[in-house]
Amino acid sequence: MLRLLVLLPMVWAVPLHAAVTWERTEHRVAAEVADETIIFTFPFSVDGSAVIFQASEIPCGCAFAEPDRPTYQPGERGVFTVRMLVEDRVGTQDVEVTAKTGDPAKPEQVLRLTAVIPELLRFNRKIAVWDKASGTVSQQITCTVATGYAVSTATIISQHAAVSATVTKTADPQVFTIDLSLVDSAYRKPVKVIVTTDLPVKRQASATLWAVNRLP
Amino acid sequence: MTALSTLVLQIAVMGVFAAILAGACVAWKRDFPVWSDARAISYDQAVALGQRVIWIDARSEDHYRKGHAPGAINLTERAWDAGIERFLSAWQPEQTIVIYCDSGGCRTGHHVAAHLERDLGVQPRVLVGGWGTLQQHQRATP
Repeated sequence: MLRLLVLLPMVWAVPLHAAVTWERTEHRVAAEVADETIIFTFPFSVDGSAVIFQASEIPCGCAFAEPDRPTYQPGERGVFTVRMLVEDRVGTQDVEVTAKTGDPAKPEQVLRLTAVIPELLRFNRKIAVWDKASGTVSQQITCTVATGYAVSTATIISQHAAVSATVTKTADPQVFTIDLSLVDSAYRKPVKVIVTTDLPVKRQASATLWAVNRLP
Repeated sequence: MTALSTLVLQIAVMGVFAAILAGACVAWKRDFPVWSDARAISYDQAVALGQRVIWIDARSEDHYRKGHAPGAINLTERAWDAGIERFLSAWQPEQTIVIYCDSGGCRTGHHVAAHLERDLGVQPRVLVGGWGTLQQHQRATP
């Protein structure tokens, strides 16, 4: 029994053809409001034989990925870096990157990235619905601006005459409301309502709301 | 070595393994969100709702094109604006929203569910077993 207890960890410690050992395969990053790029790092070590990184696959086309150099010798350590472009993304974003290595035991490694990108304009909801329960009364959506930012002007454009939209400032300078009224109750398609503000972070200065008529 | 010392050694080794396992569990829970089971819906429960279900396919557009549940709408965080318009065109308030994705864990599906909860104020359900379950029940169409 004692021999087994001593031998077991030794057996586990012997690498089974694995040349690349990743310190982590998932990375979650909380971005700052002003970030235009979010950087994810995946450190690894190489054992057994030399490893040549061949390619990486990113299905969304929203990021670039590369190791700090293409070839690693046994015993060397490296970092695989993924740079995700924020563009107009907000909230929680998941991306899977496949790193292709020359590791014969595991030629591909999927790396999972999660970016949490803060929203400057936070709406209590983004979709207004008129249905049997609500009737035709106007719907109100509230927008709260993130701390440290201010909106002095907000413009609302409804993309169809079936829905009218107006913006109202409140006593709280961080909060404004959008009132949506159903003008044409026969119109059933979703109507896009675009809110444009003067926020300094251009990619978050606008938001899209929806108004849907589901009255019976 | 006496039987007693062997026993003490065995207990010590088991204790070390247990501590490592406990530490790993704590780290895992800290780093990853634990999804609410309240959203889970089984295939049989979803099918029993009949026409009162609207299916959302939260997989990539490529996978959706290769095959999806009949009537399912492709809606992902990545292509939200295009997908939400298609969804809102088809959705009726009395319908239960059932989301499926590739895997049983369905991380992307839970993100879509959370997004709909926040934007629309509804409580979507996430199919247990995801796309694999649908394929097993031959509901998938090419």
